[in-house]
Amino acid sequence: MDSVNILSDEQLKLLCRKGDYSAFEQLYHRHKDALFRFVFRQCGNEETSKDLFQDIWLNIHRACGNYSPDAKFTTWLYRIAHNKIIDYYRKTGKESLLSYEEQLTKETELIGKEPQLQPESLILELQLSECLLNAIKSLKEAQREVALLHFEMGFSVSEIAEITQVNAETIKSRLRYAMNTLRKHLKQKLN
Amino acid sequence: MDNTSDLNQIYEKTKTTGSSVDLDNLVLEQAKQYYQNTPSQEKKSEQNYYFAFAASFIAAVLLLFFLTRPEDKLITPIEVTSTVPTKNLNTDMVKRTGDLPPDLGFPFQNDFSGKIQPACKAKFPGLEEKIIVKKPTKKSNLPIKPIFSDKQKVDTNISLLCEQILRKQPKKKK
Repeated sequence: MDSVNILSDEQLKLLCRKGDYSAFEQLYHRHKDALFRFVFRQCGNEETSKDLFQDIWLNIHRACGNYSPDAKFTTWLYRIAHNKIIDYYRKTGKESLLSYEEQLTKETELIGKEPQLQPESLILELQLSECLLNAIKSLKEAQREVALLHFEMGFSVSEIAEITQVNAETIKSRLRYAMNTLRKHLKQKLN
Repeated sequence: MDNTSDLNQIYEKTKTTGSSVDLDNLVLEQAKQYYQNTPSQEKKSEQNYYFAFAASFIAAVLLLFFLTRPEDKLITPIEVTSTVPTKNLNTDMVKRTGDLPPDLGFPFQNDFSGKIQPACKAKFPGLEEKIIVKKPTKKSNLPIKPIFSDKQKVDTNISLLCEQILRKQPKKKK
């Protein structure tokens, strides 16, 4: 397991192709949380997120043969996730998403337990985080996806364009619009 | 993009959430089963290689088999024992030519000399030399033989000449 730790994602993926389960385990532990947050904040339902999360990893096994070592693993991984979420949207439609309050309550519980006992600065940070999540939720789907990809994995515009299969200029404008909207929300909250 | 750093910092605080332990166990268990049940991509590609090799070998053997089949079964457009259909054949020509094969379709050589006889038995000294068509001095190198020999031409010309003379002879007054 130690030797697997120092390997890059791409090298681990190639080991997975050869049937190395420990390599897959390592890859999973590296990316599971970020991927889960991405899926959860996209669809807003915990149970659905879990199902989607499982499906995504199953698709990763199935599409193992299609993976090219030249491509960045995270780009490939989030592209599979993107396609899975798109399928979910097509099946259910926007109306199936849960209200933001439910998601916010769940996330607040996870971010900081008993926030009233925390120092004042920490409380402010948590409030800001909540506010940011609230603002992200209010974004349009395409803008929300771009913002989440940028925040979670720090993907560049070209990488996001590759994941979502959308023109880079479009991604740039979506990201700019999303950031302006989020900043506006936070300012309103602070005021 | 630099302006997003403040938002990034705030977002970092929300990264404490993640997948639950139960979910991790579930996914990893599924993955374990998948790895145990399905062969790796390397093995699959190896199997595909052997399959492609076997398929090409079988195709080559079949191709050789069909290429080296005996030719006696080939169908020729006209069989050796077939006869020429007599549907459009000129029956008059067949009768005239006698034993000649029907595909030739025209008489030659014996046709004139055998049936046309001179009407008189008069002799014309020196006439034969005048009528004979002299052979060309140069012999043709072509491998084609003339249809009529000189003798035949002479006979024919004499016969025609006799006929002409007889026609021109005035009738004797009684």
